[in-house]
Amino acid sequence: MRGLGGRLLPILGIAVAGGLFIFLLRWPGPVDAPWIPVSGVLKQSMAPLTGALTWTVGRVQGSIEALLSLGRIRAENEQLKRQVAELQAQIVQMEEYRQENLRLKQLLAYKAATSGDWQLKVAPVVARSPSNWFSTLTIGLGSDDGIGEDQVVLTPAGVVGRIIRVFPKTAEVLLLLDREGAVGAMVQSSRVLGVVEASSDYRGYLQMIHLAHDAPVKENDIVLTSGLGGIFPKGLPIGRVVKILPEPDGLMKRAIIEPYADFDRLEEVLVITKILRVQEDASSGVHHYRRP
Amino acid sequence: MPVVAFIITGVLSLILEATVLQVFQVAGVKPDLLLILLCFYALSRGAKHGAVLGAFYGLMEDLYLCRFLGMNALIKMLVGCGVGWGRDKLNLENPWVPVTVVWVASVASGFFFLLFAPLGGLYYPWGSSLLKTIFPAALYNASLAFLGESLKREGTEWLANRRSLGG
Repeated sequence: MRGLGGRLLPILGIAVAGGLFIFLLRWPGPVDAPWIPVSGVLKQSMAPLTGALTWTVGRVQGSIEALLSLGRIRAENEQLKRQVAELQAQIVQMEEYRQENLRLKQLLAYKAATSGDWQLKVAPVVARSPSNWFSTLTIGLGSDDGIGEDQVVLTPAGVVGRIIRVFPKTAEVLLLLDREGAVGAMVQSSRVLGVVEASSDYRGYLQMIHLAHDAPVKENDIVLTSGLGGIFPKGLPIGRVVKILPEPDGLMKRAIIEPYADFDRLEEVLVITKILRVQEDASSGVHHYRRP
Repeated sequence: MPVVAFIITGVLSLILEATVLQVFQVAGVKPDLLLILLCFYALSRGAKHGAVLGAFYGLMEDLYLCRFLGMNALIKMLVGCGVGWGRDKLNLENPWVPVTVVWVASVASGFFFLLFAPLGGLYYPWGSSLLKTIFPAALYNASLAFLGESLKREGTEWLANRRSLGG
C-alpha cells in the first residue's frame, strides 16, 4: 500500500499543478488578475538591478564591438574626413568658377556689344605693384598676344589705364590712380573738359582738375574720356563726381571722382588692341553701373 | 648669409608684396618687406653691409617696378647705411629698438622718396603723402617688425634651451 501511495503522490501532484496551470492559463484577462500587484512589486524591486545590469551589458557589448571595429571605424573616419575636405575644396572651387564665369560673361557681353568699334582681348591680372607709391598692375598677355604700348585697358564698368611696358608674355598697366596716369576727360552732361588724375588727398579716388570756378559740374555727373591726347578713345566712362572742392586761389575748382572700375578687385581686364571705328560716345550701357 | 639667400628672400618678398599683401592692405598701404629685412640685416652687420644689401634690394625692386631705375636703390642704400651706422649707438638688447628703427627707417624711406621723386619728374604733395602713405606704411612695417623680432627672440631662446638640454 505504502509503495503504491508513494508512487501515486507525485503523479497526483503533477496532475494538480497541471490543472492549476491550465486554470490560470484560461483566466479571463491580465488586467484584473490577482497576481498583477505581486508581479509589479517584483518588477519594481528588481528594476534597479536589472537596469544596472542591462546598462552594463550594453556598455560592455558596445565597448567590445567598438574594440572589435576600432580599426574599421578609424579608417572610415579618416576616409570621411578626406571626403569632407575634398568636398569643401570642391565647393570653394565651384564658387570660384561661378564668379569667374560671371565676370567673363560680363566681359564677353561687353566685347560683343563693342565688337564693331574695337578689337578687345581679355587679360588676367597676374600681379600688382609692390610699391605704395606707384599704381600699376601686370597682365598675363604680352607682345606675343598682340599687346602693345599705349593700348587702353578697361573693364565693362570703366577705364582702368594704359599699357606702358610690354614683354613677350606680360605687360605693365599704368592705372588711372597713378600720379602719371592722367587722362583727358569731359563731363558727360555739360561737355566741360578737364584732366582727370589720381587724387592727392582722397586715396582710391580720382580728381578732375583745371575746372573754372563757374564750370557747370555737379555731384553725380558722369565723367568720360575726352579723346584728347590721342591714347584713350573718346567717351569711355571714367567715374562719377562725388564732391566739388574749390581751389585755394578761388579761380578754379576740382571735382573728386569715384572711379567706375574697382581697382582693388581687378582679376580680368580688357585691352583694346585695335580701334575699328571712332565713337562719338562709348558710354552707353554703363550709366546704371554703381561700384559695389 | 650667402648671396643666393639674399636673392631668394628678396624675390620672395617682392612676390608677396605684388600678390598676397595686396589683400592685406591696411589704410590703403601695404608693408615693405624688403625694407624690414634690410633694417634687421643692417642692425646685425653694420653700415657697409646695410648699404650693399640696400642697394641690391632697391635695384631689384626698381627692376621689377620698371619705372625709375635707381630710385629705390638709392633710397634703400641710404636707409641701410643709416641703420647700420646707428647700430653701435643703440641698445640692441631692448626688443623695442629694432621696431623703432624700422619705423624711423620707413619714415626716412618715404621722406627720401618724396625728395628724389622730382628727379624722375614726379611730384607728390608732401602733406597728404606723409599722412596717407608714409605714416601708415611706417606703422604697418613697425608692427611686422615687432612680430619678426618676437619670433626671432623666441626662436633664439628655444634653440639655446635645446642646446643646454642636449649638452
